Amino acid sequence: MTHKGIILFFRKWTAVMVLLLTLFACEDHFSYLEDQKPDWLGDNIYNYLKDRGDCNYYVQLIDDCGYTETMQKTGSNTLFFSADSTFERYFSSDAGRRAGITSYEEMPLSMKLLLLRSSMVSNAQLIERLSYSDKGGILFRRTTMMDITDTIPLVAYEEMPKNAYFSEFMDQTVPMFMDATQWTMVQFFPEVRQAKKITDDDMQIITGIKPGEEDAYVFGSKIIHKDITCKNGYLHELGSLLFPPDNMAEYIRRNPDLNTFNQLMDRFCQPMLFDTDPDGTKVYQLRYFNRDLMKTGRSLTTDLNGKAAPGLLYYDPGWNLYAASANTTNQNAFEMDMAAMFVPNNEAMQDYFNEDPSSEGYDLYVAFDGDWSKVPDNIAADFVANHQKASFIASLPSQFETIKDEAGYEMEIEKENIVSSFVGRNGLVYTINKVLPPLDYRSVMGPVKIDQGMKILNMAMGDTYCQFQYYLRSLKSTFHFFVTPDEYMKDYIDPVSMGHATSRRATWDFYLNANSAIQATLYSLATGDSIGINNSGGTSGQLTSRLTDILNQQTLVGDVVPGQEWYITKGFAPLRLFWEGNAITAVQGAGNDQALQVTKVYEKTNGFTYYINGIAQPSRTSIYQTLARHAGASVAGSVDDKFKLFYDICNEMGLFIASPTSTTRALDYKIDFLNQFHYTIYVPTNAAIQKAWDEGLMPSLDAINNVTLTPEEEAAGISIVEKADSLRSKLKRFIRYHFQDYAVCLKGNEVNGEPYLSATLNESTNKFFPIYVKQDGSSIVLTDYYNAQKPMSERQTVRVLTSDDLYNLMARDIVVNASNTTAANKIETYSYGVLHQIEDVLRFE
Amino acid sequence: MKQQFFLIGGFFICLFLWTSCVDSDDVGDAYTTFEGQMISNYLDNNTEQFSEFSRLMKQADVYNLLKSYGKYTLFLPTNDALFEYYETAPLDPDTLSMKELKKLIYYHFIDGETNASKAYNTYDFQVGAIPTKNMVGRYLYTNFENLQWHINETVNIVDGDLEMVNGIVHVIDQVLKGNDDLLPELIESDGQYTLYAEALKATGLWDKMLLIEDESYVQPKTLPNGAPMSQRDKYPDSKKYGWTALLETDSILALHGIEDLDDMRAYAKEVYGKLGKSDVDDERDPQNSLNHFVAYHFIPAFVTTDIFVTTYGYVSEHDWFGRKEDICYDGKYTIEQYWPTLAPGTLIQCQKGNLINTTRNPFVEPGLANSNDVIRFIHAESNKDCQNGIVHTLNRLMAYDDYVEYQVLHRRLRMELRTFLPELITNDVIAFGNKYNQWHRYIPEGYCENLEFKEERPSVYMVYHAANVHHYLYGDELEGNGFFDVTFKIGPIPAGKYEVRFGYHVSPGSRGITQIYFDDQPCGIPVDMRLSALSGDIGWQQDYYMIENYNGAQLARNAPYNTEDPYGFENDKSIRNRNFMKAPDSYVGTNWRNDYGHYFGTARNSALDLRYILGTYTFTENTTHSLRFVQMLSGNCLFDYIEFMPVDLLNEEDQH
Repeated sequence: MTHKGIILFFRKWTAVMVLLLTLFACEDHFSYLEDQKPDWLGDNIYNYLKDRGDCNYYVQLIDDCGYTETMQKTGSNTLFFSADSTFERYFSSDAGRRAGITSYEEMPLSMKLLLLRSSMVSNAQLIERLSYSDKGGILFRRTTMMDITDTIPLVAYEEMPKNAYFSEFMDQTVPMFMDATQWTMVQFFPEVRQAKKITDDDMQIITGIKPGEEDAYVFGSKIIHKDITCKNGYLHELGSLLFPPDNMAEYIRRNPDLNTFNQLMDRFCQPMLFDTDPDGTKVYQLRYFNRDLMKTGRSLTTDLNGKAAPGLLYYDPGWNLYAASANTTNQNAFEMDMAAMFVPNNEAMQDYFNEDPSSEGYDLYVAFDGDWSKVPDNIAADFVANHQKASFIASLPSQFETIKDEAGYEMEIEKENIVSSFVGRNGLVYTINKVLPPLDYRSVMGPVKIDQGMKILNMAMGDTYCQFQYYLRSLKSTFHFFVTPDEYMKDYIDPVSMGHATSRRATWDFYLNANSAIQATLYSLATGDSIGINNSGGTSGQLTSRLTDILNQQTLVGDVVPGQEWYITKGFAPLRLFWEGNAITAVQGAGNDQALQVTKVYEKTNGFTYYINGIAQPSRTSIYQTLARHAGASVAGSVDDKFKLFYDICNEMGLFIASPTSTTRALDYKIDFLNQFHYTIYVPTNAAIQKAWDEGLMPSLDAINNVTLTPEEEAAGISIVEKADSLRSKLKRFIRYHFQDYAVCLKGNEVNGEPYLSATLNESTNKFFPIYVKQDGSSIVLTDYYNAQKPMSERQTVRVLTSDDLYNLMARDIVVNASNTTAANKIETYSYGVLHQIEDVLRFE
Repeated sequence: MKQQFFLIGGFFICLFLWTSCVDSDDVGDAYTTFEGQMISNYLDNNTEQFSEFSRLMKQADVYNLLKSYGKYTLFLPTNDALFEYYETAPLDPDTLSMKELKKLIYYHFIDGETNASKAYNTYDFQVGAIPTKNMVGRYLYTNFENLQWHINETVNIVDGDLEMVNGIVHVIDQVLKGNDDLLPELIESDGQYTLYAEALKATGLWDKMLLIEDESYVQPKTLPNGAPMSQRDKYPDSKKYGWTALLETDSILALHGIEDLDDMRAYAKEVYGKLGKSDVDDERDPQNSLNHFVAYHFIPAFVTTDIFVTTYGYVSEHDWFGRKEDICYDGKYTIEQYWPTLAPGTLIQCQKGNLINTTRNPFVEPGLANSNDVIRFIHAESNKDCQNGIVHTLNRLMAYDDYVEYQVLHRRLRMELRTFLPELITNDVIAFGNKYNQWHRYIPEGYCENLEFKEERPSVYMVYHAANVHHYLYGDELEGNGFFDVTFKIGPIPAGKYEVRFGYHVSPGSRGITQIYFDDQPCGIPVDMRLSALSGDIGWQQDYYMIENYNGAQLARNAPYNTEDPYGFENDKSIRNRNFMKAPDSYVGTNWRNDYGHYFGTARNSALDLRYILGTYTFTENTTHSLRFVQMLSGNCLFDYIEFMPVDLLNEEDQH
């Protein structure tokens, strides 16, 4: 049989088999029951409603919508219906009158379709079964038979959000969905309430109804008769008409009490083309810019023009199918939860702007003339987003005691703050009588966030770059945060470029480009000419590397003591503070030629924020360079020989290394054993080292380079190489004892004899020998480990010398991310050292 | 081509439709789906021996159990055993309620399938409890005497290890039965612990151990992500209470001069006094010496002897681990665990081999596990269980005295965080063994007294994963997920000055940034648990010794190393400066055996396992502490263990 023949064979016989198997394979023995029905099974849905006699409107509704046959013959259906009295109550209600509907006849077909189809659920389901998904998950929300295209709203320009994106519709009425995803029904059924821990009190607050244990509600509408069994489905009778409520965004826009908040929120939406009818009519949907906090894949971060959105909310408050998380393999996330928004009413919004300097909103009041319309978009977006909670279930009144906002701060909301609440089809809106400002604004980040002249650092702290905000949010910590306004974010001497060719060594000027992204122009240090632009963003980009270095350099963690000059920053860099009384007036990084003036100070919940007029620059000199500068005439660039012997020993013992790993390179050299931290290097005078050599406290370089064996050593079979190695090891251990963990600066943190570990291993304990340090602001005195068995008072002390200004010499070893410094573009690791000349050598044995 | 698929697909669909409508039960003789026989066949073929058990099962309408697939272990009583039981009880089986009848039957079954374990043959038995409870939730205990295994001390296996398709049958000569006692009643009725029974009444501790189950606990209906529960993924079925008594018999107490309650009072007073504590008169007060002495003998969890010390993952326990000589016999390597007791401020230390409260080390004193120089269990008189507890008998007098406080517990106290969650042990949430990817237990909000968190579905929840192949302490995972705020009440810890550390596992893809608080004080700035230990901010290096000798670079994916720092002492110091420490070298994950084909690395050699130094704290009294984790950036976190290192011992600390 040919290939084609096989296909024909299968085609022919498959059809025959399908027919045969369909006819015979499933023949069962119950066919005689097909015309039977159990006694308890009622009539079909349509007849049931008709026979009741009090459901004439609903029967009429079914007829008008063309569903008569469906409700008579087709199974299986679940229908939420209402009796005539419920209709009449609606017709005479304020809601009915507001909608212009005072009789059934006044209901347009679109409204009838909406009412019917949003009440229909596929398959016949009891209330208990409706509480679960097909896979057994609890079903808090579900879609109905209603399709968004059942009714396409025509929206006049006056009803649209007022922002520039809608200006093209001036004086027009256009078809526009408030969101083009399916609508959902919210099920407050007993099983659901129990599983979601929605208490009766919660229900009372959010719907105004205190439910009985077995009561079931759709939105806020009570099911007064449930599980009515019909031949082709189940019926559940509602106590009110089931018009699906607005989504949260619609509700907020339509509620005049929430107008001020809405004006802020509506800055962040735009119309988007949904579809074009065959006749060319364009149908739009309204979408809000959002960062998709819940990672559902529905972010909207750029506008119609491809530009960055003016601000991002946590999520789109109009999204009908809102989901508080990504879908799982077991369940659509929208079925499990919905959103919640805490929306301050107009009065609360106005009260927040207060000229009382002690009030929460004072900074904003001052910055923006007490006018919300002047609040810039980025701040407005922060404010609106902070009133958004991802999860309704986590925002129930019973959770208020421990509720946190999406930044992790406690929310400070109480039941008494709720003015009213509204259950929308995608979330709950609490109208509240207070503003819940983003608590980042209370932290040391606050001034940076508010000040429109501080956009670069504000952006640098955020998720796109350094993610520094997560540290500064720690409200129980204390920070001293030195911030540089945009105008001073320039002349940053790029440490990485110091390994490049002279012409490529650069300063960077930071700014925001047209897309509101951080960018830097590079200027040659040699010529001052522009030599390029760096816009390598992202959390692992080159810009982030530099900005993180700056933020680390400008952040002190912990308290400061008035008068104390030197501190160690979060990034381990020494930073000098200048004081007038109890006030910090200026700061200086070791790499700054002059101090940076403090121009403003803000006291915040977790510390102080200081404006400075420049970038605090860490040291640009390595430990190697610092020593070499005083290493004598034989070393290029040396100005004197005061560190000569110490330098020579370090050099000969291989303490200066260039390539820590095969993929990294020090800018010039780094100290082999110092890693990303801060250290102190004690440099004995040449005389002290020579004396130690003379006294045989350590092998001399000469002795190592000119090894001779004693007769005893020869007799013992020791080789010259072995002896040289042994001497080298001894000298190396000796010299390493002068490198100490933690930078102790004169006029730095006061210490009173505390032990700091050196770099020399005590081989009997496998721990490192300590050095005991005293620093009182006027001197540094060291006690070494020699004669450790004696009381501290009887042991040798060694003083830091200050006479030649060879103390507090700041250095930084930098390792970059390539084996060749000219190819490097980021800092890989670094270590800071402070060097002091000392009067004598330190001994550990 | 697409059309061919449709055609062929249609053909197979037809076949499926056709076959699906055939009565699958009616396979006749033409189909053999398995070899061997079901347990039901075995009973049916041996009616002369087992007809009565079959009859009972049919009467209880559970006989189909024996026909179903599964991994059952059935301790099958013979007809004689059952008849003798009826006579001595005495009882008429036909008058039993359905519930009673099922209880009688199910007492003889262990359901391995449901519990992600196995059907047990006698090769699996060890002295102690069979790891999986029987079908009424009680442990069965095995002991080996006279070259024969016994169940619950007295029941003999007359024909064991009969392998069936759906399990293993052990024919036994007596009916297995449990008691319905509560723990104090069991202690009293046993007859060997009359002094403790008396003391329990005098101190009021009797009344504290009368609960069986928290009836208010409602098992959630679905998992946090809304999925239905399964055998693998579920919340605990119930919340039962459980206590473990570690008791000396009257005769052992007498050897220490304690012959009546007054003697016990006097002894307790003396011990208490040496601790410098002020005694109160009211014996019902926990600060009373007698109360303290007695309460110290009770652990608020149901702990069988075989799980008293978890050895899972320790390098000494793996035959394949190649560096035991380097690590295990230096006198500092130990396997030990700590149990908080009912006496406030106290811990029991227990080492491998169930050696209690000793500074001696069984790894360098091989005979210690059988010596009467140290406190240990008398196995033949242990694992006596009841509805809400279990009794183990000690060979020597145990007390929380100055030796325990100042010597035994003056060491690095490393405790998995489950130590403080006894509810998880009592209610079989903790799996003591490798149930890789088979055992995910979600922890309900409010389930554990010492664990405070707020579940926010679907993203914020706590879950426990059974031990697997990874190099975590004990191999298992207690995990917080999402934007959580979790507080553990930990301890008690003896007074003193400690460096406190938290052990965790890095995961760049899933962890968050976490602010840790100890006793409500922030422990520095938040920790980025996404950060690889190889990053400059941590600076982890592989020990060159491992690279040189054991291809250790591969263990940490070609991490940097320092040839001049072979054992990593310098690197240890360096990363300590940044508040981190490498993980201990005392345990290992089996994944390294499987993945790398060499068996020398430990958790210390993993660049993903770290200890974060929370700070140095001085405790002025023996008390509990709070350890709080607040996510600043959402993500999950492995709450592995906490360490308390006395600062005066820092200079002597090993890498274990």
